[in-house]
Amino acid sequence: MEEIIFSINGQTVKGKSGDTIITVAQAHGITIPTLCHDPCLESVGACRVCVVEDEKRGNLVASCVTPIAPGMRIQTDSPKVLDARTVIVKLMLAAHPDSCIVCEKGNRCKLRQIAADLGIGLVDYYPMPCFTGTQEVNSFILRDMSKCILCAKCIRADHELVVEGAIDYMDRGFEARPATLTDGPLEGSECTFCGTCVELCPTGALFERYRPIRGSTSKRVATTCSFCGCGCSLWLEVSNDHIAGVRPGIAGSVNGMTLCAKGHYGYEYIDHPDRLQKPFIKGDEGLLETTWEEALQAAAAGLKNIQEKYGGDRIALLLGPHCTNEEAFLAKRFAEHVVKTDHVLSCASLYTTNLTGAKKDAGGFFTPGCTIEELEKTDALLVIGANPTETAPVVGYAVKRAARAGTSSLIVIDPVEIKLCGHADIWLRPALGTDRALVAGFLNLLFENGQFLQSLSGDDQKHIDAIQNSTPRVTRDAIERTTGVPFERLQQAADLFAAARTRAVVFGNGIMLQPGGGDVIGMLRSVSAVSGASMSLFPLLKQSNTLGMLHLGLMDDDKAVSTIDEIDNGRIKALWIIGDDPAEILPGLQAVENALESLEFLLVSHSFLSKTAARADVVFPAATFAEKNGTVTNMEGRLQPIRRAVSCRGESRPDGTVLCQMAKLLGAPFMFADDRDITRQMLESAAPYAHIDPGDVENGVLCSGPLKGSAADAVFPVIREPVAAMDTGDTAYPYTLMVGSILFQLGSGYLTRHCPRLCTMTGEHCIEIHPIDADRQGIADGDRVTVTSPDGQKELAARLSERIQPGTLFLPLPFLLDTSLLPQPGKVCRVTIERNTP
Amino acid sequence: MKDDEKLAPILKKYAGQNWSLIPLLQEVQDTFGYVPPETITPIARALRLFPSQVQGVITFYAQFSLEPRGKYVVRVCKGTACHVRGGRSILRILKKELVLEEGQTTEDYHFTLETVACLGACFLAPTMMINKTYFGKLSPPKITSILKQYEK
Repeated sequence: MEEIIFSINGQTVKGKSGDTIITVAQAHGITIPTLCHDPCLESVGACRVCVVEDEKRGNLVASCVTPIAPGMRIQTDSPKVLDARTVIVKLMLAAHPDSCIVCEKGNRCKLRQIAADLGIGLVDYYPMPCFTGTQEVNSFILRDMSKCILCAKCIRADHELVVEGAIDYMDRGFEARPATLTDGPLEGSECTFCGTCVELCPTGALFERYRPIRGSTSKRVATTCSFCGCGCSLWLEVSNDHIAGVRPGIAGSVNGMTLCAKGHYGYEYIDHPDRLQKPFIKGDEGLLETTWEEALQAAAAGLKNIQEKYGGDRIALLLGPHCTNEEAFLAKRFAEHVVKTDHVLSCASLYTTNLTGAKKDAGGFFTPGCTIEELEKTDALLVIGANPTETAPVVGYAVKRAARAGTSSLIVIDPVEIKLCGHADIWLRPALGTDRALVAGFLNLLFENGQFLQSLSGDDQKHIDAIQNSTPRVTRDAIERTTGVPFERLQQAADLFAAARTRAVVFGNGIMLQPGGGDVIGMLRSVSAVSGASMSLFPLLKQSNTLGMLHLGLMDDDKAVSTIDEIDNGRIKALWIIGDDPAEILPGLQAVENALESLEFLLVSHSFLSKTAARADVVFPAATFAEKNGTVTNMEGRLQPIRRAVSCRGESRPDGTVLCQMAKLLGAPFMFADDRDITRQMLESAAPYAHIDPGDVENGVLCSGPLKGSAADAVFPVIREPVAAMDTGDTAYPYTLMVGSILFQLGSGYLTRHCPRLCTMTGEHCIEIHPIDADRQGIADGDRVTVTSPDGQKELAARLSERIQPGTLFLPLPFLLDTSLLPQPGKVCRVTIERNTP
Repeated sequence: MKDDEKLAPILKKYAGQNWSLIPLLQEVQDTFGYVPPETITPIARALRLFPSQVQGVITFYAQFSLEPRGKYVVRVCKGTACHVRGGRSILRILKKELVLEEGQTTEDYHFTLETVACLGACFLAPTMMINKTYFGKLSPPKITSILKQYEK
């Protein structure tokens, strides 16, 4: 890139060709005021506040859109510039309401700051404010168009960063404004309430509804979001020891200026009145409030009793996927050294069975082959059995950005028409449960493609041959008959994928929970192994610290199965559940009830009185992510800090602290110098973290580890029935029910359910049914229906939907508790549907 | 022919070419007489644009209308030259004759009355256009006779 030398305010500065004046100025510490420019958006030159004087040409130019040229002489604050800038700002203020004192934006308003810097007080122009009322009824974002200065930051954020396309300019001249399609309220549009536009809006035109304070807080703490596996960095704004808001925009973070509705507005659970404030002990009349001293003593005595009566291996620890790495490490140490049991696992393992299953024969597959940033730069993306726009929004943004920019080809394989389908070059729609056959066919076609074969690393010829020989041969007829996908479409997809230089496969719970999904992962892993750097696998992990749990050995598949068996068959006598709620989230509710019933001692650490906690012998009130320190690992394998922002609510304590206290009471105290020492030892205990210094975690650091299976184990798993579809012959249950995720809730919902604003978006549970099926069953849109599976029954409202195929029903799950229909953790089951007689 | 059937060949012709939004919209407008709001989403999908972007372009340009317009669109020039030569009274007479305000359409969708900043035919001032035909050096009697030609 050519270097260009020119001067700003007499100072010699350097930039690259293509840079604009404002970026070079900012890089040299020279501030040029602007309202519409932001480094994360394309410049449009809308506000003109950034005018500077080009002394050589003698004219004024907008510095955000003017490329630099050799020998330019730029003045940023000459009298001519200041005059023009003052007029521009005065004109804006003349069209702006005089409501600064009560404006929600408060001291964060950039228009006000710039006006103040220019010394503009009263505007002597004829005021022409255009008053339009705010019109929204949603609980997140309010728009006051009278304060809009038409900088288009919200529009660009919507199009360029989160790629929803909910808003764009409408009309022109004085009428021009950012508007949704048909100019309706946001809740009727594609808007997902990620709040990126609110963050970027320079004035009070967009603001957060129900924000407890105006302007900014004096204290803010950088931390990591506690919801999904994206691991977004965010600021927690603190006012009087309460969280007053969440803001994105931490340099170098995975999310940049974006967040999702959960991350941005889901902080209310921290101060929810239902938070457990005190420990409880079970008495004759249920749970009774008690002191920590007594609760700890009772818990220690309970565990000790089981240990002495039956032995330590009759005690098990279960951890939720939101626990920190330190807590996982301490829990493991507690299990191994204090109570001496092997039974310590994370409940998340039950939801990634195919992934943990694949681990057995793939030394350390568990860091994805690329980061989210690299994913966006990949030439071809295959998304299969994953719905990132709902389950991992930041990954969704990256995929959509790549597809929209045309830099990546996007292939989506999903039986349901998910949002990504609208951005895809090719959408393959296999019949439910036939992904295995489709992927086998897809890979067959890849291995017949010369371009693809050439891209494989040549020195692995032996393995490539092995794969080619072991690839299950799936004939054209079999593919079409089984999956319902036209062969030509599959061929097109394979050709598109083969032609790319770099490729990535994103897969989610649709594969990780599907019977046979392990084979799909196995096949993909083998291909990725011989593809060298040219193909990465990216498992989409739904919960915040699932990968950390994996790395710290709490999701070992064999162990998980044996622990669950041991609980089921009543051999486990005492259970300590930290941050999870199996009585609510696990399918097969009766079995869970029975298992919990057979325990002699149940200890629960939780922030809320969950269903499981309600039947515990001792309950410890647990601190949330905003009240403790530690680290979490996002789905990329990036270790990031979570930091205490507010003091613990009531008497709640971080789970890590309680584990240490329990160890001490049980006579085997942990010897840690301080929190940092725990982090250091935690890092040492897990192979992928061994190279990391505790200090590195402060800014987030990627863990190492074999990013994919070695080429040596690159052999296709034997697929016994390569084309077996799901058994649909069962006429007693003629429909296949699929469950999926929704954006505004996460997992068991124990966090999101305590966020009233997120709950307003969840609405009533609706089951989606194809119009053809609805017609056959005599069901109309909105009718109450009863869905029955061999394992349960549920009453719901029906919604006609053409995004699913006839013969299937789709239930976007607000909470996993609705999995009462499912026999085991999974995505599909056979059901009947009937209209309720009114 | 149903609306969907009329739209499909237009979309097919331009599919995937997002530069072609304006010619596509012109063709839709020629076919339907206006751009029906329900065509916005299919158009956006065909060109891989956002529906809001398509709406933005439609509402920006005066040539596109989201509401049905008359069979004959009368455009009266409000430019300087026409103003000097009595353009204002031409507009007044048209309003009276058609019983319409600016931007309105007759109930039978026969006439739509619009004004434009300049028709670029100042030497013929005062001027107006009906669909693609220019009429210059207008006078009240001339208007009456012109409108007669366009009546049913």
